[in-house]
Amino acid sequence: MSLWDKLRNTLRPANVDREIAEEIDFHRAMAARDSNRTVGNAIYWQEETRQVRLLPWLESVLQDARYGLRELGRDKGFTATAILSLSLGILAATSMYSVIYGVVIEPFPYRDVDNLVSIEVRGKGERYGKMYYNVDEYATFAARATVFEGLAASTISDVLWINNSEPLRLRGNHISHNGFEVMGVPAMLGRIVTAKEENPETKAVLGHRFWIRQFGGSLDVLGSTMILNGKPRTVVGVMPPRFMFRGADVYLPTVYRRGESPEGVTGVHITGRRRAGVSDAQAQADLDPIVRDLAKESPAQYPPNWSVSLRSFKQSFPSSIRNQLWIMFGAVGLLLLIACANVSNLLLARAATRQREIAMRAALGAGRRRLFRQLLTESALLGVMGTLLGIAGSWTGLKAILAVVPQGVIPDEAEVVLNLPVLGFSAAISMACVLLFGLAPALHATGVEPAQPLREAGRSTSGSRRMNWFRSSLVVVELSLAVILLAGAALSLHTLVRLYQAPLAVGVDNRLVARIPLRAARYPNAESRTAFLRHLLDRLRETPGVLGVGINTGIHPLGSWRLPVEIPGEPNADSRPVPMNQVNEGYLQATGIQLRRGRWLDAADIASQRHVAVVNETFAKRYFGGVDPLGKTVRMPRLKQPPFSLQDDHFEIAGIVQDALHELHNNDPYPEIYMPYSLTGLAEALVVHTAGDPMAMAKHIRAHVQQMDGSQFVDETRTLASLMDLHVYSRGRFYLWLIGVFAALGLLLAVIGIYGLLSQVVSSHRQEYSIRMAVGAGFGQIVRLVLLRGMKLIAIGLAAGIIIAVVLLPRVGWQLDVHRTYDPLSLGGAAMVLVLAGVAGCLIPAARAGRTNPVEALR
Amino acid sequence: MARKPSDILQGTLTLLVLKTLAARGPLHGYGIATHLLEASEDALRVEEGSLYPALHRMEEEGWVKATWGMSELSRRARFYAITAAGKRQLASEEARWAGITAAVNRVLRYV
Repeated sequence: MSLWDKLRNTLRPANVDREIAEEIDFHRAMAARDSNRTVGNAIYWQEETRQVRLLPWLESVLQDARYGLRELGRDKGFTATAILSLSLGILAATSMYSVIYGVVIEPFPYRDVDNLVSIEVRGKGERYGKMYYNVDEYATFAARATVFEGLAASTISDVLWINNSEPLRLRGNHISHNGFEVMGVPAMLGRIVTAKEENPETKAVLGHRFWIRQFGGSLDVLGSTMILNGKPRTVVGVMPPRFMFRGADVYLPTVYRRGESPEGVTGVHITGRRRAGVSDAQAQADLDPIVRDLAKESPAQYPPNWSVSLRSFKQSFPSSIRNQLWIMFGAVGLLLLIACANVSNLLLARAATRQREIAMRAALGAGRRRLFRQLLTESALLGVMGTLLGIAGSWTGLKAILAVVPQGVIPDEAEVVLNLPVLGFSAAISMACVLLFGLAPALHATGVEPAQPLREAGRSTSGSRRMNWFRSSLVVVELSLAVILLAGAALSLHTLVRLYQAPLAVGVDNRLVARIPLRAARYPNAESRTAFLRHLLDRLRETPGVLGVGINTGIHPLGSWRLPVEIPGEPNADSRPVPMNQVNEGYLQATGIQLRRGRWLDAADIASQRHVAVVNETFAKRYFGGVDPLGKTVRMPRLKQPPFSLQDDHFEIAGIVQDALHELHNNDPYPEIYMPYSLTGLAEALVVHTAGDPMAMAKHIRAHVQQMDGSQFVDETRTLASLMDLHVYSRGRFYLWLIGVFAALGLLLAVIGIYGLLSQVVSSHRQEYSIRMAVGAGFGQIVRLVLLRGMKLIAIGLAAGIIIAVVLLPRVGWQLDVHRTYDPLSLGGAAMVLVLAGVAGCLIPAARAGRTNPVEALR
Repeated sequence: MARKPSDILQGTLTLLVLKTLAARGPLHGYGIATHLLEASEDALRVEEGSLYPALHRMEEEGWVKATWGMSELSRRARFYAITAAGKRQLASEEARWAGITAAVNRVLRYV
């Protein structure tokens, strides 16, 4: 008889039982015939035989499960509340973990991603090292390093595509021709380009998203020719959806040779596939002499005291909200704890009412372990049902989270789904939950002397003092955890409100922004670039509906290039980089920034490339203190280096404008400096102030640019308001959404907890209330009695929660861009919400107590 | 789990049952009990609560094979027959029993 047979027998025991019964029956009949024979205990015999034919442990589990289901079905309110509590916790945890798994733990589809590395050269004490190299450096690494199977170069490039004589800007990746093999992902359609390819520079491979967007997923694209950066390339393949290396629309296989800069590429990112088993020390030993030689050749490119190391792919391309996701995961953990405490509390309340049943079973000979197992089985049943419901719900939860994730903060390759690891995680945490909420009630119930509850004969269901204390502590824990979540939510809300309310020097309404990157091949110097831009600005200014036109190297109020400033005669001036704006004379008018003193840049400054500058108030304060900065000189030595390449880096300050650029989280203003765009012609961000709908202006801009240069494209055309939403508000909204939902659920569960506890207290003290009322207590006094009891718990929970929040929030809050981590207003708000909700939860049981009929005392 | 007979008793019961079946051919449980009683001249009385679980266990081990057949009461009874594996088991149990009794006897002869 195999295990399989036993399993079948256990699941359908009727056949076996019939056989055994018949065998016993026959034996009896024979014994009756031979009247001198007696028969032993038939029940014992039957049981012993059954245990051979069945799996006794499984049978008792099934028995417990059947019994448990019946018991749970008897008390539907309890069962529904417990399952719902648990499923909410599991739902939130599963959804959040799928996001963490897909975004942080396993975001990349590349083969053996742990061996994909970048070469990082870092100066002593620097946080970020050098990760970009020029073509010669790449060639040197590729030729000399021995610790790699392959070394790929890649770029993020603007690529011009002439599609039916219409110029379009594509995001390209000049990937070295061995790059696809290094990444280790096959093409989804067609083929990839390999190192053995003949003429790789006449081939192109498309990114999946671009292929769908531009070609509607058509197979005809294979073998077609695209004119990219003026050269024809044949499309040989399409990559799968999750191959998003550097987020390219089109991959342009490139052979990098020493001394060349193919299609204008100068800097590349290097991704290597480390040979299996190579240690960090070996890699360092291999790379050290190479970097030493490179640093000797061009000392300016390498920091002193450098060290070289390999940086894993996951570290090189992390999600920018990785830490925040972990914090949210922690918040979910708190929610799950509340849910467990809640279920535990419900089970304890039930155990109190079932004490007599359990005592009876113990008196009839059920062992402690057997009873314990049975109670735990009931908890496990709740766990299984809650988990199934929670996982079903997490489909929706996951979609809801992804809907509010800000654009561009998770790796493009990330695939966030409910997959096996996620489901395994859910199963594991629900097991942990069952133990967490099931152990205490089971231990408690089986620890009672059987005689005691039987003696009490059903007069009271109040349970022991110790148990009441334990249950009250559980409610206090729930309340305090809810306070922490509420405080987090309030802090996020306060931060977001402040962000929305922060006064902006820059007008946001009716502003259109666009990027016009002039290609180096066509516009090689400051003069040609400036000529194009001046012409464009003139044409735009005369377009009807335009109130102002500005051009800048960056976009207010989001930021710009930052360069260090020097003050002649002040060797100790602040060396932190300062945002630099290269602008036109109409910039103030277009943005709404106010001039404070002196004068603004005029047309003559622009036309004759004068070295005049305007600074903001914070700049004046930081670098000149009390001294009047007008007429003073500042230097920006980095402007002598490429890509600016100015001869002279001195600027005379002509005016002061208001602060217009602030740090996101604390609204501190940055110092800023403005200078004529004609000095370099590198400004590429256009801002247009319109009378009407700004998006209506987009087609005019494109038309003007087209007329001036048929091969020039306009990119990222959008309203300033939408850009602000994306870069400034979306993260805060995301955090608030998540933690707000978690806090609301946590509060709901905690209120259910205190409601449940008080309800039971009230029903077990009915007699006391009726006696009190019989001797003269009124409705109000009884209500107050119950409310006081609830308020005491709320007060303790609140105090504990606030203390933890005050300690905890500063440690995690800065990650969430909150404006300050100790915020009495948020804490107060959180406390008020908890008290109101908590008292509301106490009111119903209190009112029920107040309506006790005094006659009950007599019964 | 309920009380088990001590290992040696358990082993002995298997030996006795296998021996009975080998000697007498297929028998039902009552027949086996009766045979043991008669053959031991009323010395060995086996409890039904031990005999039947042991028979089912031996069936599980593959030492006996059970079939429903007609009995002398003209009603169905479960008949047990020794299998080839059972015969091998019987041989090894007999050898073990012989070894134990010999050893016990040696101890008893001492002094």
